[in-house]
Amino acid sequence: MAERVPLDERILMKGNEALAEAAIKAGCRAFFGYPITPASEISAYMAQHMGEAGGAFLQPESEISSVNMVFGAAGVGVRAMTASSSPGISLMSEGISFLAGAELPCLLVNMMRVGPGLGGIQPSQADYLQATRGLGHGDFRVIVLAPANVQELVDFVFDAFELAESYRNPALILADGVLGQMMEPVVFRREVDPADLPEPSWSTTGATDRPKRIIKSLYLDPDELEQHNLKLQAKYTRLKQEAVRWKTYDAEGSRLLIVAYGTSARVAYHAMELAEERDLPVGLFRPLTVYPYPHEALRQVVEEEDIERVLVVELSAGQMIEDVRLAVEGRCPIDFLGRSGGSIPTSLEVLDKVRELAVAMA
Amino acid sequence: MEVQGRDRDQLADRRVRDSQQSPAVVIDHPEGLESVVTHYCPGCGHGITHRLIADVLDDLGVRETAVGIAGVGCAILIYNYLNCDFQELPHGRAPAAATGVKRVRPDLTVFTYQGDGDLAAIGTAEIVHAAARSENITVIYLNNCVYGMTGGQMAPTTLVGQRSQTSPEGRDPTTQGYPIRVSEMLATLDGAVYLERVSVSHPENVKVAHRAIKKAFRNQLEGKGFSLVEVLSPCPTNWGMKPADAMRWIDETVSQYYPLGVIKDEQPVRLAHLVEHPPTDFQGDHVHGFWYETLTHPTEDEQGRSTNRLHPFGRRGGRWVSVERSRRDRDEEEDGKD
Repeated sequence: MAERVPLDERILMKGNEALAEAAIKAGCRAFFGYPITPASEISAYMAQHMGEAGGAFLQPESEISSVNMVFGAAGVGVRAMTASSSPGISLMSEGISFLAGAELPCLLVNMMRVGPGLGGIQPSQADYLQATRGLGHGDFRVIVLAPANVQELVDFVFDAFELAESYRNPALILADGVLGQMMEPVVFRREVDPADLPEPSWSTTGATDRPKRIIKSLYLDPDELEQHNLKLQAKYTRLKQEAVRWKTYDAEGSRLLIVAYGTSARVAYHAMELAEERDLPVGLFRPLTVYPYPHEALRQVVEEEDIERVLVVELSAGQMIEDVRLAVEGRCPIDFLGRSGGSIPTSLEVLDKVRELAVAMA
Repeated sequence: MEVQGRDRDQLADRRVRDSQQSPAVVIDHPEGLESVVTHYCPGCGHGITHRLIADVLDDLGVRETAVGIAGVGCAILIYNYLNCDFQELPHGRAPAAATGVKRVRPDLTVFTYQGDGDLAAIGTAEIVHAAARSENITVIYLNNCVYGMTGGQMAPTTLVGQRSQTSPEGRDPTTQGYPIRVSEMLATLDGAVYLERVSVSHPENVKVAHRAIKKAFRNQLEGKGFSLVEVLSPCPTNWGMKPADAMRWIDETVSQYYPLGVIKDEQPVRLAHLVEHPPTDFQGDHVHGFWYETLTHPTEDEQGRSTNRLHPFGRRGGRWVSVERSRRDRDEEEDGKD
């Protein structure tokens, strides 16, 4: 394959295109995607380059078909993905529920835009509850990774496919429009040859010299269905034990802890630096997985550092704050700063909020 | 010649008698069919259609490469009755999943099995676009003019005046619209290659159905593109009829609105042309087809004849390119060498 984007070289790339390149390098050989701002460049990049890699690219008639094409391709054991933005993800709900019920690994990408309804095309984090709790009907969860820069968009693609396959569950990269549209330096560190991936024991590749295989989510017998659902739940329990990821910044010795993910975390990080220049002891806790959420880790930081106050920053009216409350369990007051029309709070806005809280804490 | 009513019963009797008298003459049990009791109601047409598919999988030797996609409805459990790999999809979405499978594994024999609620209502977008793209898949579309699994509600295919749970006084076209003739609708699409409507109302028709299903699978093996067989099938339970009456109703009423026969069977020009004039420009690269200039820039000469050309295209160096593009690339490469 021509060296489209060489390995181990620092290059400047747009988030959506870097993510698409990462997917090809991660061995994804099936992409189905319907145009939507601000995720469309992923499709455009795939249209141009998936063929070179010998994979399938197709622009279907709707996001409903996108996700069901992913179902078909994932069902024959190929690394398959789709990418969209908020309204498109809503349309995929049914299919995602079927993917989870049938335990098919695949990658979904949501470059969130503002809702509800058509909302707007500006960045947003207002699909957090949908992603972590409500991607479809039934008792199921999707592995949700929350990158905060273009390098993480790239790295998380590899992680997402690996997690999806080891847990036989769909994985979602939950990013916002900023990350998809921005350009940043990025390094591709590895490349997966799909031929090296183990062939799944469940894929429907034709019953040659083996009994037939069925990929399904229908269980008409209640006991059988309950067993199936308990198996799914056991998987989510394992995920919570094994797959939780987070990062803390300057939490040691801080009295105030900001909790944020994605683009909000970048703003919060700068606000934290500004606060430290002003001798305000502020730390930052950034979940990298929002399902499973690092509840236990956040609780420990709050306890061990004697955090007096938590500030949650989001591009929404307050969604992740529910997980923060579950983690903190009333150990300290929790405050919120959010924007929900597509604007991004500035670091000075966050700093103002930090100062206000510092005064209250004094 | 149509075989109906008593004649048909006599035929069946004779068949049983024959098989009792000469045990050596038995109907083979196709390998593609499981030896299980189905959940279908007495007189249902799904069983016959399943059997035909199983026969065809055996006849063409594709059972081991077959991947069925089950639509939602009575036949969702088809994967328990046919002996090949299966995926079960949301209501109406089978053609999308079939596309997903076929695009990444063209070597597999991919078919969907969908009812008229699944395909003609909630799944219209999926079937229309699969046909428009001429996905190289086989669709078995079982039309019994009613939602069976949910208990007999009106389907897009329910006949005008036909009673159902949700058209208790009979389908009223002024408020409930007219039944959709899916096969005729799809026939307007360039991508649809083979469309035939058959019925399983009596043995002669079943034979025709067998031939049609076989052709729809063979088309896929020959890479011809989208093939669909619409099977008119009885639903005695939801039609409120005895099985034999339901069969008669297909012949006398249903097939009046949905006429049996080949609706479209067009050897795709691109393939016929390919066989006659194999392009040599690709030097071993695989040619996949042609596109028509006419579609974008129709031109005519003075006599009104089309002056448009067919453009062969295929893969060269891993890319989809036209022959002309390929030639240009090669010329440039050679220029570069100079």
